[in-house]
Amino acid sequence: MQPTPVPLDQVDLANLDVFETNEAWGMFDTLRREAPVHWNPEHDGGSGFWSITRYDDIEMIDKDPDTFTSMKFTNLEEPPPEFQELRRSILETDGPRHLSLRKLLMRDFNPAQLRRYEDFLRGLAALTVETALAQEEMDFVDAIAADYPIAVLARLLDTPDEMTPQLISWGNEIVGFSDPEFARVLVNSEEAEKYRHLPFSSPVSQEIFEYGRKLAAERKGGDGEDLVSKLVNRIPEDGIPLSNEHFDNYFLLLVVAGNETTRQAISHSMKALIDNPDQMQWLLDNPDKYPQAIEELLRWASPVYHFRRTATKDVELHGTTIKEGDKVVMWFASGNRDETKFDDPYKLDLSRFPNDHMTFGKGPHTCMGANLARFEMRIIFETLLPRIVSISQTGDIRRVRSNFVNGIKGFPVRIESKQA
Amino acid sequence: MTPARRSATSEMPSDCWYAAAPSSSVGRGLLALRALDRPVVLFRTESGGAVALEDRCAHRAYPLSAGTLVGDAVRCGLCGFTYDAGGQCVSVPSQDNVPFGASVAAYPVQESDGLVWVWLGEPGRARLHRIPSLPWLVAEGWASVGGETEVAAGFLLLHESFADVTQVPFVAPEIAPAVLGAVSPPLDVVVTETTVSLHREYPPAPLPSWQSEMLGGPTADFTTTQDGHFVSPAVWVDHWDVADAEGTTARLRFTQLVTPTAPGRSRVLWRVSRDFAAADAAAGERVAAMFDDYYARVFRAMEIAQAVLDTDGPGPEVNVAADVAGLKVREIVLRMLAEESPVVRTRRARV
Amino acid sequence: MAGTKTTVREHEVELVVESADRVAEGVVALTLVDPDGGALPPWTPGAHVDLQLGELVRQYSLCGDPADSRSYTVAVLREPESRGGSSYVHEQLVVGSRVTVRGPRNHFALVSSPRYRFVAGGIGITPLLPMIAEAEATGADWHLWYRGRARAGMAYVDRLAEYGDRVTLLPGDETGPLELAAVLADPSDDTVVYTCGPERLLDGIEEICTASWPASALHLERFTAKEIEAPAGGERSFELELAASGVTLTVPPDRSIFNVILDAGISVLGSCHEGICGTCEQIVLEGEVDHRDSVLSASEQAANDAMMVCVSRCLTDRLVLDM
Repeated sequence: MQPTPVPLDQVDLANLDVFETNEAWGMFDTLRREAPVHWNPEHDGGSGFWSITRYDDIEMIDKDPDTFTSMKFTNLEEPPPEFQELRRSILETDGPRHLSLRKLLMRDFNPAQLRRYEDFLRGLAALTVETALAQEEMDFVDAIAADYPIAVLARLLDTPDEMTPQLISWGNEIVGFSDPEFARVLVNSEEAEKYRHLPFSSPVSQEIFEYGRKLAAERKGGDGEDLVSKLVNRIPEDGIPLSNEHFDNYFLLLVVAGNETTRQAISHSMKALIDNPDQMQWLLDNPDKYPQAIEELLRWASPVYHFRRTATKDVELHGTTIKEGDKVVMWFASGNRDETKFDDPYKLDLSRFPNDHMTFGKGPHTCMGANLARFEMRIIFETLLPRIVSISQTGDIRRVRSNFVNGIKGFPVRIESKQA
Repeated sequence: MTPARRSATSEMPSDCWYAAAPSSSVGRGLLALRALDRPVVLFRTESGGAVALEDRCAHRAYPLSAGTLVGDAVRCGLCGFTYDAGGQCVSVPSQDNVPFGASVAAYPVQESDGLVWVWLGEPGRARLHRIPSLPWLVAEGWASVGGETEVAAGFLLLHESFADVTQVPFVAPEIAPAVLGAVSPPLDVVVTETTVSLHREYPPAPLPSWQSEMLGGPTADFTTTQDGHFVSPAVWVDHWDVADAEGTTARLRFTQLVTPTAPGRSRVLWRVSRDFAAADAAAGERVAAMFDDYYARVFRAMEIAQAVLDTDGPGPEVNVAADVAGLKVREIVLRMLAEESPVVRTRRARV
Repeated sequence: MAGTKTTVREHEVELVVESADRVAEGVVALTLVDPDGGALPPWTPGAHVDLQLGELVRQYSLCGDPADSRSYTVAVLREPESRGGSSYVHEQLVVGSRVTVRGPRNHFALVSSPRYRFVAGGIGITPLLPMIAEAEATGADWHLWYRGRARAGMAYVDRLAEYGDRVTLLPGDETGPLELAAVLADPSDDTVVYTCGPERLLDGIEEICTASWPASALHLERFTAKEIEAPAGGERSFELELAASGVTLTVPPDRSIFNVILDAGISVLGSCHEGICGTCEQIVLEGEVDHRDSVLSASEQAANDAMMVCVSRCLTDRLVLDM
């Protein structure tokens, strides 16, 4: 469904209300057409940012870390210089060090490694679906979308089962840092000043760090195959070992990234399938098309709205000068609706092929867990969809108040099911 | 990825020239020492050539070094078997013929820079490996002081300690130059297949008092350049050069010659060489006393670390960025050991 | 105290060409020394260095004496098909030229063994020369088979003559072919095989060793990989089989593997298309990969069991992927 156009002078992508009510899409459309490089002031003390909304521009920026650096942080928040080193993770590192850190775990998500998890994932998906379908009425997020990715994460980190609820709540709090329902301390609030040394300025980061350090201490020197063991026992290719801060931030990223985004992708995908029953039927009729369909669902879901870069020099783009030091925001969600790249972008077309979406980013910072996420999604839908006799949405969707994560926190559904 | 840490002491690289002794200690007597867990006896022939033989008579367990030197040959003090400089038994007292196969190992030897270097590995490979060049030990204008210490710590542990640029201010705060504790300049590490070097430059600062006095008490600030070199498992060299704006320079070379004597044990010949106050005997005494104390403390610390390893085994270690040189040294040594170990394999399963 | 900024890099030095000698038809040997006479870092047989040749960086095996601290020697074959490093060496480098040298490093180290079989094809003799010297010095039992197109183009034949019948020279203009089956007959547990040379030779040796030799017996180094990066006639085409999909495709010179798979309507995952993000990694079943990504380490690339299909290509005529 085509969003309602928003006049250019009403576009404000710093206003979180817009995202809570799902009205950003109309703004993206206006910007792509009328102002592909658009200055957006911030109301909370931020210095403002350039919105980049066209697919090709986003791709160019994401692939040019020399001009558009991640070193100055990658969310809208501008951490004070004295805390930047403390908070720096792989997300906020460029160049050879970035590649070395990335390589520490990157190949643990390659096809050969993922294959080893297939039986586990199928079993987990079957259990998740079986448990959820015991009732007809449920909140889809709670019943299916949330537990499944976190259980995968718990397996990859090899954490005990009783930690799973804690991992879920940490993920919620961190990624929902601008949503009062989730965040103990709202980002950019006065209270948050106390936590400016922590990622997302959130006290939750400290709890996650402490848990990560406990796991690290237990596993240091061992030969565990879990991601924590690998992280603490491997030395990056450049020979420079991980510092405590590096480890903390890397662990935090695994906990958050492995949890929240996949959940959102699954929730959005289910919503899209409910809204497009013909597409759901097509997929059920063509079960060999799941891999292809998942790519369209990922494009559709766009669970991460944006990442930010910072210009390292003055650059001109479409006649507009971006000054050195300016924040530049790549709206991946907008790129995924770019009509010059995708025919009829607001149509869910599970047979769309090729489908070179930018849900995972495009450059050296491309999501490391991309293939795991795809694998998880394919298996949960391959397990769930054949069980559904009918599914309907029974109330309003509640959205996370954030312009970073495109999140659904409440999604009431009724599912009439059959045995597989 | 770095190979998993093995016990730092379980194996010792044999394809390496080790500085067994100072040239001045090797003469017309029999000098016994251990290297790579083997007994070695050193002496000079009448024409002055240095010889290294296995220090154990082929007849019965008895060290040749407890015997006597007869011309260019060594006679066992227990049974009278006599061996020439090539290790071949040339006479036995009880019979006219030398028994077949009676010989002791003769190790390739070379002398350079005032040191006798011995090769205990596969003898044929000796000439394919270089002896490190340490000219300051003998060059005009330089003066060296030094000592020799048996250390109950493995060679790799010692090298890792030499590679650790952060230790000095903690082990020996009073001799550490002022710059060491105050600032932490960038550490530049350069690696090759067989070597690791580290380099740091410190901003201008006053000299430590001992060095200042030897240079006649200059008041200017000096910049300091520090270079550390892992040359081979036998040699770690530190260069410590200071210079002021007027062009006054003073160079120090710390040469640490390591010979693994047994697993978890080493002998270290250390030399501190300077190109300033070289003719000043009192300065030499002062430097000797100071660094004698310094090395004693470093080695004591390494012995404690070795004891922990011996008692509790290798455990988890936290590495910091500054450890990178030590980690690279470990990589090189582990690779050397792997290449030296005999080929052991299993047949590939047929499919 | 502020944190220490630590950098790690490979040793790099500008050396001067002390001599450039024609050691065979089309082969020039460069002797490189420090302009100030300084000592060069030690190395062991099998090591190579990077030479910075204009815009290009090329790897060449050290073929001199490891005990020589004063100079490095590399021998470079002029590849008529190439606009790459070899013509730069032959045309631009003369006595007195300066050249930046990085390394040495060693991905082809000689392991200790009582018995060696060395097989060299053409200029692939270079890394084997110091290995042979070491094998000889240690008294190991060894033999070298050295194949070349013609005797005139085979470097260091003179030097090898001193080893007598340990060396079998096989100039293509004088003798019959190299019979690999005979060379690699009677596999043994205490023998290792070292080989360097053109693809076809190495593939043949690998095939035999995989079938009948102990798993770690074969050590090989492919010297052609880097030259193929900039072939005069552009990229080559090869056959691509997707084993799980049961599809065989042709990858033309101007298309990436990634795009050819997509064109065939088969889903393949990718993102950066520049070999940096690691998303498009695929499992390799057959074929020798020409790795061009920044993701896999040298040893991971050498393992030849995975590749990034967005940028990497294939050195052999057929590539089989598990997809």
